[in-house]
Amino acid sequence: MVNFGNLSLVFAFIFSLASMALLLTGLMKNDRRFLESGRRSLYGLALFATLASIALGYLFVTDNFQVEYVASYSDRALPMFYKVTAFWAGQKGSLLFWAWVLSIFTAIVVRNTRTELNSRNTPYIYLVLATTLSFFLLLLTSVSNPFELLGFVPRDGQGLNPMLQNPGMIFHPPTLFLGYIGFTVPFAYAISAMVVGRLDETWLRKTRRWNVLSWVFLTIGIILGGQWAYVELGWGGYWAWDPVENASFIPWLIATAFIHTAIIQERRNIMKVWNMVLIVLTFVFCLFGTYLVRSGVLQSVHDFGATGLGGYFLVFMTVVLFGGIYLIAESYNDLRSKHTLESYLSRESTFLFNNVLFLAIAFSTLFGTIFPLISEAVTGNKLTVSQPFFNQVNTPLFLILLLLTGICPLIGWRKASADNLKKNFLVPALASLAGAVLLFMGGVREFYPLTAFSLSIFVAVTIFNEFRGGTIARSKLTGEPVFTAFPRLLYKMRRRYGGYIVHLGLVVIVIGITGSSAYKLETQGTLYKGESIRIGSYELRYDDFRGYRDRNRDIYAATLSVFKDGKPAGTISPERRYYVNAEKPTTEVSLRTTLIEDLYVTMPEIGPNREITLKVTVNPLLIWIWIGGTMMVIGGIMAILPNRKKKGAYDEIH
Amino acid sequence: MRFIKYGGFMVFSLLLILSVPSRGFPLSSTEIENNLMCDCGCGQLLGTCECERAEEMRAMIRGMLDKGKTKEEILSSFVSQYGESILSAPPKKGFNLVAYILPFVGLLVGVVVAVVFVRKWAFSGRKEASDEGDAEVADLNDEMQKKIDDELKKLEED
Repeated sequence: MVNFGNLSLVFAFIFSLASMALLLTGLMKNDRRFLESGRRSLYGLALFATLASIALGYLFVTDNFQVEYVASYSDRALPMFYKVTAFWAGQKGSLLFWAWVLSIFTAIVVRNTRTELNSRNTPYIYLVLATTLSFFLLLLTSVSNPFELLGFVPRDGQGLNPMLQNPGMIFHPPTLFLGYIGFTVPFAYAISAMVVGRLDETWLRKTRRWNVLSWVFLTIGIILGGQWAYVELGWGGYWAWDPVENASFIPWLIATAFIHTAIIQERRNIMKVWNMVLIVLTFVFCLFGTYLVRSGVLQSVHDFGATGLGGYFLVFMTVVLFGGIYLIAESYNDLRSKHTLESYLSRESTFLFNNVLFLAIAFSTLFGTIFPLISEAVTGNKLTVSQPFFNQVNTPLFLILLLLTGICPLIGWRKASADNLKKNFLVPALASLAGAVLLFMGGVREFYPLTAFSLSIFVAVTIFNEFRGGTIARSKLTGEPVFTAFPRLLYKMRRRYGGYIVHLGLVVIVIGITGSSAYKLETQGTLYKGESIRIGSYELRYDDFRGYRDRNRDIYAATLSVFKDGKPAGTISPERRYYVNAEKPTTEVSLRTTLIEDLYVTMPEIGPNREITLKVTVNPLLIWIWIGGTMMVIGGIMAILPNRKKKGAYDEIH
Repeated sequence: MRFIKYGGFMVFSLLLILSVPSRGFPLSSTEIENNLMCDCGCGQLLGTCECERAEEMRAMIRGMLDKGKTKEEILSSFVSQYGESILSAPPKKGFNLVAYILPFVGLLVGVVVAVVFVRKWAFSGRKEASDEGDAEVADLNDEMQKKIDDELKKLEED
């Protein structure tokens, strides 16, 4: 199977090179036969990349520890479930996963454009995809081969990092990768459009679903990463502004800006240059995320160490960036359009300002992430830039962005009249003001929480107003009762209302983040059996302690009775786990979640007399972060749901 | 009636937000821990790392707090021992100020550029409208303008 995997990888690489050569020849000779062969080679590439992936999965499942990658990330005691997910636990498997998914996406594009080979754009789209695949397959077949053998057969593997033995690991890395990889397709369309000079909105229309779907995957990946950090790392938080987290957040921000201005180009055929810049930047920062993880240039909790791949990614990234800049500069005169707006005050202009904010946040995140390198280069002084810096710099920017999220729907397309503005702003502004006063009287006195909550009310009311207005209008027009009109409105105008659901999800996330960060309670203490610890309205009494073996780990668990306001509220059971092959024990979080707050308990230490050290946190409103994230994903999916009239899944995604 | 609906929606939001407990007690130790990085090389804040080294550092903080040292004194003590990289955020002085200021400068520049473009585009839009308006649109009365706006609005909503 090792040879089979190796051969499949080599064949996939050969097919990628062959495809590039055939497509280039076809373009130079203007010969459709070469182009057709180049197109078909991409199917062959997808087939062999799939076979290589199956081979690696098989080697994990069958404990083939002769393979260095399998021995590094699995062992005999590892549950089957995690043996499969160990596929992407390390750098080599992640790269294979990337190449495999991109080859499948490429096959889908090839299938969707099967009748468009005569179009001047199509061969260039294939060429960009084939080139990107060649880069990954070059790494996989040369410097980062997942089928590389050890010189001996170890009795057992080194096992999977216990922190990665969590259900979040099934979906967090793959969804993030799917987001990164998905943006290759719109990037390929954009490059192709610039090369052939077809610079109208066609490329945007054709890639809209790819854009939004990739954005949805990136969102899921980021949210799941936060959820995994929260339940697995045991520090009571969900986002640490770690360089690798930032590296996933930056393309998300740029892609979000792009999705907004793409709407303007589709509607008004303006901002063509800007959209090209944004899609190139999105793709570059997808690569940057991978570079950051592989290069080891920055210290991160995700660190794969200096893998030697950083240089390759840096070169590829530079080629993509400067290639993109060159093409944009070359096409600049054609991309320039006659920009006209009916008014200063229009939704188009607010979209432009939201773009400025998205990019400002992306820039501050990037700058903070790489500032230790800049500082060391300029002053020779080594620094750390972590959570306090990002919270301080990004919080005001996010609040302005939140305000704009509320303002945008209040301002009509093309032109907003003074009467219109007054009518639209009055109720949300009053609601927000009244909310602020009540919150202040209720004890919310700190500036940022008060502002964040008030703005959340403002945005929520504007969105609610949109839903309400739309439903009433539909109900009047069709005679449908409100309860029928509402879901039908959502379905019929799903692109628009899907967007509003995404915005509402953002508001809910802001409420969750503000509550859980500004009003977090935390305490720590050591307890003997029968003793209690208090935090806020909770009391936790240490009742019992037990140790047992479960699959690949020894577990020591304490049982604590929870009392809220003096009344029994169930039990919780934090654990300390000693995994086979792991150097250090891990803590397993015990959670009591309600819509109001999370009671979060970890057990960092167990004493010789079974006295336990507990770290207890109360995180108000935290669950709303996950609820808001889910709403954003649902809204995003809703916005790209296909029309019933069209047929075929392939056509739909295209 | 309209205000009752909005009011109900707002009350729900407020109830949810007000359900947040008020801040309990000062966590000076935690506050200091969040201003420091763990020295073990994990890349985590001291308050979040669970290694032995982190526990030693936390014990040092507790010791200094017991001696009545202020937050600034404790942080300086760590900086003199481990260097500035032990701080979780660069101190706001010298070259480090660039990190704090540049994002906002970037935002300002972005806003100015956006304003310039919007003004330019809006000017072109008005000029175009007035050029065409002389010939074609001058006769439009208010009623007709309203009809056109309504039609355009409908089109956009579709």
